[in-house]
Order: sequence, then structure tokens, then C-alpha cells
Amino acid sequence: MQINRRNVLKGSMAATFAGTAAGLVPARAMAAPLARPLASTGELLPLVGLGSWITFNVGNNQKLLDASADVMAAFFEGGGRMIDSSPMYGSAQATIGYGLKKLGMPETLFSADKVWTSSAGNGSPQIEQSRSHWGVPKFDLVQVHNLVAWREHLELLQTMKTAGDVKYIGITTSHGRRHTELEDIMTSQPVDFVQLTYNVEDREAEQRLLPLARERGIAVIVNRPFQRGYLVERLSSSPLPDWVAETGAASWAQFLLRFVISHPAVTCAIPATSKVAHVRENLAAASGQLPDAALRKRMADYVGQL
Amino acid sequence: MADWSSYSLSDLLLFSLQAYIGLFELLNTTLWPAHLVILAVGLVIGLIVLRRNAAGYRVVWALLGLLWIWSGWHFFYVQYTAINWAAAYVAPMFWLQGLLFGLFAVVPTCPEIRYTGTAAGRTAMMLYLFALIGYPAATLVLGRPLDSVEFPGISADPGVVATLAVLVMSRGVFTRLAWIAPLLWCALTGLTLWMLGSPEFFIAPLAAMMAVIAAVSGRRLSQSLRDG
Repeated sequence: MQINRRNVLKGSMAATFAGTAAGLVPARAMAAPLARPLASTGELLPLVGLGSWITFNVGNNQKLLDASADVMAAFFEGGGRMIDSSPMYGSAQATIGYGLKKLGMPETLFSADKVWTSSAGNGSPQIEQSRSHWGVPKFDLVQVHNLVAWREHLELLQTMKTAGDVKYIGITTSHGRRHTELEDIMTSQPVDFVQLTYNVEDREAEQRLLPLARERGIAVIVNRPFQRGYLVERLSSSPLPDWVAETGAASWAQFLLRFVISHPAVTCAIPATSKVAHVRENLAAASGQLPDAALRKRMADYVGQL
Repeated sequence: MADWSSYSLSDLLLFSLQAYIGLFELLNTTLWPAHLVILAVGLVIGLIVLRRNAAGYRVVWALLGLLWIWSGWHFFYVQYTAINWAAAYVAPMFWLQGLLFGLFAVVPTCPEIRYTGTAAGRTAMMLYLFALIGYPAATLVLGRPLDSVEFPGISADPGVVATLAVLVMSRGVFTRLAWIAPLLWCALTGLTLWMLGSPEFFIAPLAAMMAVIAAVSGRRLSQSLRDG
């Protein structure tokens, strides 16, 4: 069967009712990406966000700054909300700030950043510096990056949340690092969000972390859905399965992304990109009826055999 | 940050090849026409080396010192650090190297820089000219846009290769100390470019290897001439 994005989008519109029944709702309108409500407040967050690792670290190059702003413009136009960054990501925060200013500070923005310093005393000034780079009055979400000094920083974030200086707090890991410790934190600490690596090949989170997040009402942000692009690059030489239409994907990128966001515990995946076409393709993946458990298994098995 | 052991080398790469190339575009745009001045200074250094002028050696070391301090400050501390915060930690290495060359320029026993017509000397002079003219051309041939090619004094790599060429022609025990930073940088830049998928990744390490071979063979030849 000939698969193209138009066919997929037609199919996705027809399947909107099914998505709603599964606890998913379009974020704004029929064409907007599907969204899941946050357990703590009910706020809707589209299933696809925008990461900034590497792609937005463009320094002071005006051409690249404008290209990044174009990506952000396409992201907001397509109904996206969450942009995620970190002080670790070089000039990415400043690039986001540049884009937001250029776009007139879109009201739908869900700003997610991190605190990344081994010194507890540096946490607060670092968050303030990050906020200044973004140019936002306050962050929606601040996470402890890679569990660095997490006890001290979570205490700080909790204080900020109580004072109304941040809406949500969370903690992150990536590459499957320190999952046992993360599990302890999710069990013992009042975090709203957890961010971790999950994709069709890195599925350790399925065992304990994703079920635990559902159980405790913790929203899950997924980083590295494409393994920083390596998965798409590697799979692009292989054919999509004959039954790809059942997955609702029109490309390998959508196939991989729909695998991630169709997990019921996942709140938002944050692929990073420097291309407008890719951000549109990513957002379009969050539409229609998402694969169920049986289809997800089939998708993982198919990739596993390639 | 904490838990560095869990990061792979590619995880430490914070920027894309596109951003890296964009850095040189910005540098070239900002600093033009300083390129012409640097080229002229580079040719003067070459002439001094060829003329074996004792007073000229001090000028060469002083200019190399300025080059390294300038690169440490402008390239690493001001510009590169915008996309790679780790660059700020490389800058002191360039400053120290600059100070070392400054020291060479003022000490009573200023290390000589002597061009010989031997294979080692010819290799050194070829490397020097390559750093000055060939390096920008090579980056262009390997796919860089014209406004993003690398010039000595503007970016670090060609300047480091030029330094290695001068070191091959230098004499004196203390000049051996001056090899450490350039060789380290050639390895680091080669690794960075390789991880970025840049076709130029081999240039600086290859130049470093050629410089080391030339220096070792040159010293062996001098030794055997003294012994024989």
C-alpha cells in the first residue's frame, strides 16, 4: 500500500474518537497534536514536544539563530507546547530565548528547563540565569538534570513550587543511567515529572519506571526517542513493514515516535531537530489512533529483527 | 559535572557540525580583513626563519606567543565557548603556551630556529606553508563554504600546525616542553572533528605526526653528524 502523510492524516482524523476514548484529546483543535492530561493538575500537554540538545546550540551565528527560530515557529504553529532545555546544552537556552522573543512569546509555551550543578548553593542562581536566557517570567517545569545533587536541588525546587516560582518539578536521567535510584526518587519524592530515555530499542523503562509513573501519577517526558537520530539513520535503509498503515506512521521517524508516545505512561516525547520539515513530521505523529499494546509489540519485534 | 563516567565521548559533544562551521563563518565575518595582516605576519616569520637571524628568533617566539594568547582568548574563551563550554577550560592551555613562547623570546639563551635543507627541514617548511595557505584551501576543498574556511590566527588548528612546523626547526632542550600543548590540541581537534563527522578530521593529527617524525629524524641526523 502507498503510504503518505496525507493518507495518514486522513486516517488520524477518522480515529480521533478512538483516541479520546483512550484518555487522549486533541490539544487544541482537530488538527492539533494529541495531548495527555497531567495527573497533578489536568493540564493538557501535547504528546510531542521539542528538545534542544545539540540542535539549538548554535552560538552567536545569526543565520543559525534564525533557522532555530523558524523551527520553533513551526512547532508552535503545529500545536506544540513543551520546549525542553538545560544549562548543559551550551547556547541552547539563549537560542530559545531569541526564538521566543522573535515569535512574540507564544502563550501556549510550556517551558521546561533543568538545574545542573553539583553545588547546592549554585542551584538558585543557575535557574535564574536560565530563566533570563529564556526571557520568561518563570518556568513551567524545572527538573534536576541527570540526578546531579538531586536531594539538595529537589528541596530547592519544592520550595520554589510552594512559593509559586515554578509550576511543576521533576528529575531527569538519560541513556538508561541510574534507573534504580530514579525509581527510589519516584517512590519517595513528590515529583510531578520524570524524564528518561525510551525508544523502540531502549526499553528498560517499560519494566519498572513507566508502570511506577502511572501508578504515582507522575508525568513522563521521553528523551532520545530517535537515539539522537541514529535510529532513523540506521533504519532508513530498511523498508517500513507492509502493515505500516496500521501503525498510522508515514515514515520511520513517525513509526519510532508513535511507538514511544503510544505507551500509556508517556506524557510527551521531546525529539530535537534543526529542520522545520522534521518538526512538522514529528507533530503529525501525534494524531489519530495510537498503536495498542499488541501493535506496539509487533513494531518493536519488527525493528528488532532488522 | 558529577557522574562523568557514565557519559560516552559522543555525549560530551554539545554541538553539531553545522554549528561548528557556523562558528568559523562568524569568526571570518567579524575579523576580516585581519586575515591579510596575519598572512603577512606569517610570511615574515617564514623569512626570518630562512635568514637565520639571531635577533629574528626572538621576534618569531614573541609572535608565536601572541598567536597562542590571542587564540586562547578570542577563539576559545570568547567565541568557541558559545557552543562548547568546555572550550573555556582549553583556553588556559593556550595562554600558558603563549607565555612559554614569550619566555623563549626574552631569555638570554633564546632557542634557535634554524631551517636546514634536510628532509626534516623541508618537511617543516612545507608544514609551515601548508598551515598558512594550504590549510584554508584544504578545508575549502573538503567541503567548507568559502566564508567558513579556517585561517591561522583566526581559528586554532592552522596556527597550531604552523607552531609545530616552527618547533621542528627549533633547537634547545626547553623547546621540547613546547610540543606538549600543540600535540594535545591536534589529538583533541582530530577527535572532535571525527565525532562530528567532518571530513577534515585527519588534517591536524596527520600534520602532528609528520612534525614529530621530522623532528625525531632531524635530531637523529644531527646526533649522528656530531658523533661521526
